[in-house]
Amino acid sequence: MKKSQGTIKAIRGGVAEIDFSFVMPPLHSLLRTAESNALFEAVERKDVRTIRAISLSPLEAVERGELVDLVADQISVELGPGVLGRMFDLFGKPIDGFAFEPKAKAPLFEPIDSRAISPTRTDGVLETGIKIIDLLAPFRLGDKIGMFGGAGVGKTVLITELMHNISLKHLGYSVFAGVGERIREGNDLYLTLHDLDVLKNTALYFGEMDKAPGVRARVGLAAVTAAEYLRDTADKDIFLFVDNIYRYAMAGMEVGATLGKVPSELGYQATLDYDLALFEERIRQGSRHSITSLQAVYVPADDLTDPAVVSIFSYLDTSLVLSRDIASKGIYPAVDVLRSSSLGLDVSVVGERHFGVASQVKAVFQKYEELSHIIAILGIDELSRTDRTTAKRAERLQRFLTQPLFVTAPFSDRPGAYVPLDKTIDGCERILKGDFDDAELESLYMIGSIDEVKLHA
Amino acid sequence: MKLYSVYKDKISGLQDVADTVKTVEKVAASSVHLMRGQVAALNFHAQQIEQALRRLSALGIVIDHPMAKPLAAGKSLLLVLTGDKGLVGGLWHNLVNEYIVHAADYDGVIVVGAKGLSYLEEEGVKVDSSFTDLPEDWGSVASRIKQGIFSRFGRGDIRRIDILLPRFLSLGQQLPAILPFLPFSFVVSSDERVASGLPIYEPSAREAYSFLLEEYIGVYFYGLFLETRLSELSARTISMETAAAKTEELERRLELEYIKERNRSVTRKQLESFMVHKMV
Repeated sequence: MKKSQGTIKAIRGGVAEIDFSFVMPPLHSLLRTAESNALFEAVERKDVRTIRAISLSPLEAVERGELVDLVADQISVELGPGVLGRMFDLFGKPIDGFAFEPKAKAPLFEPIDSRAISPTRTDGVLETGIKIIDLLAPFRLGDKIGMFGGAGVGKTVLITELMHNISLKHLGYSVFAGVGERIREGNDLYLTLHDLDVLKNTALYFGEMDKAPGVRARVGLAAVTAAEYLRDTADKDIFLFVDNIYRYAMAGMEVGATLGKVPSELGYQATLDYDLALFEERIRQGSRHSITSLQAVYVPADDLTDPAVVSIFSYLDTSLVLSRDIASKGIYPAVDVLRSSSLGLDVSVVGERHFGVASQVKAVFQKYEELSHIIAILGIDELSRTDRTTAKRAERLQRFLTQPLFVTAPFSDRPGAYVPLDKTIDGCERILKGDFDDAELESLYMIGSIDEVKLHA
Repeated sequence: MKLYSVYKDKISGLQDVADTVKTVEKVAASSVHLMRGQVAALNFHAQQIEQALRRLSALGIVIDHPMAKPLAAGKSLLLVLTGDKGLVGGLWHNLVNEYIVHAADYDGVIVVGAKGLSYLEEEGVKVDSSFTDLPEDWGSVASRIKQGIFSRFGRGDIRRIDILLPRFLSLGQQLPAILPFLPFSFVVSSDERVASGLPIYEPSAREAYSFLLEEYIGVYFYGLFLETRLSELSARTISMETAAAKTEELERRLELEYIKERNRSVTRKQLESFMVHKMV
């Protein structure tokens, strides 16, 4: 036995207790069993000789008494210019069956120098081509954007559409982190991106839900590391997509539970905020280019007050809340305008015209929601003329802000539409003015720009 | 975590709405019954007058009552019959829409009922005069308006008056309609001019005819008021019946949410207790 080697003393769940009699490995170092080749990350010192490590691979073949080697002082991800168009695991090993030649290695954990963190760029809005987002929750380069929603309201579809549109307009490269989602979804995404010809501009990192919690808790960091690498080497803005950041928090909860930590509210780990900070604060801008992150946030039981969801909220510049009620009416993207917000929706960022129209649209939706109970119980005829006009315009705006997506074109039989921001503003302005008060609601449903209304009428 | 008790407050609020809606529905439904009786009695009275007028017609009396005489000059007015109360927005809106279609035919508009007045003003219509704060018994108001109209018509200020009202077709169906009112047209066909009984009239057949025709016009006018009221109450009955059903549906949905949220909360608390117990 070498001096750097340890011995497995116990394994409980995904946690191993490893005895190092001579040299203790540093925290976050990578360990590997000598015979079964199982990987671990040292996460805690139990006493002066024992460390506790979480598994990063299956543990079926691991035995008590097996020797453990220190592989690296830090867990690193293998990188290279060839990451685009490829699919990797947490360590940067390809999982798409093709060869990959790494050119560099970068550690997952880096000390954060607060002086190096530059503020979000405020030089205008990042056009996504999705009407409701561009108008009411505009993105800026370098923003952290969250898409909140329960199961099946369209988070993944929206993320894929954004990846498509960003690639379509050559805005930069995308890095995708699949955290704790289904294997099928990863496969579907890979094929969809391939079909949309977007794969060549995207690097994908996966830690699916069948993987150990340690993998799911770290694969997001691997994707951030890859994003940093691309930002600095490819000289491009990078878009980091995370599906799903809530699963990252869940993985942390599982790790906490297997380490025997006393849980906090609703069973979440006591270190929930620290864990999220570890990921979110890692997403930083470079001196020339930025990383804009778009994170899908699963909302358990549609409860936006869930502690994990609340913690995630605090890191975001833009929050898009997707609503089941809206989705059930066939309104896609099912963005709840009144519960969504964006720091980018500011007159100094978007300009007076955009800000004015967006404010009016929000006011109309707000009034419509106030009237919705009267309409539901007594009918629209009970409203005054002004309120009926407001309700009518709100319904038309709601329909106009739906959009056929490129991603769903094979299922909906409607070709996708990319709508420039000025067309969106123009359409909303005309609806607010009353130009379409007499138009059929259906004529505004699932169209691109307002100019298409005549074609549908 | 959402407080599931919030749903309890919402359900309680909705139950209050449901109770109110049901009460309004009951009041409207019972009034419909009462109103139908009044309309039936009035119709019988009108038939009696009509019969007397027909007998007089058989004597060959020429109709030259001032209320039946066409005038060449004067204003053309529309009397819009609505009500003071809400919860039948569709009914009043339909009347207003009907007015808008025919607005060009009239020089002025007189409105009965606060709702009609406010809806017309919302549409930017200038109302000449209005009668609001109507009492439960519309008879006195009908009589007052009738006197005013008769005197203006008699003076020749007005050459034509039509009435816009919601016509009662059934409990579930009312339609806006414009009926010509003055100059009043009472036509008896030659086949109907059958004299029967002893033709003795005091002070004279002509004066009796004139008096009866005026009475008949009054009854007809009051009948339109009653029909408006009947339409309003019928529409309110149906509207409240629908509202009650919708409220119950909303209540059911909220109750389901409440139960789900409560179960979720109990499960979470049990899980937390269980995990802490395991740790300890």
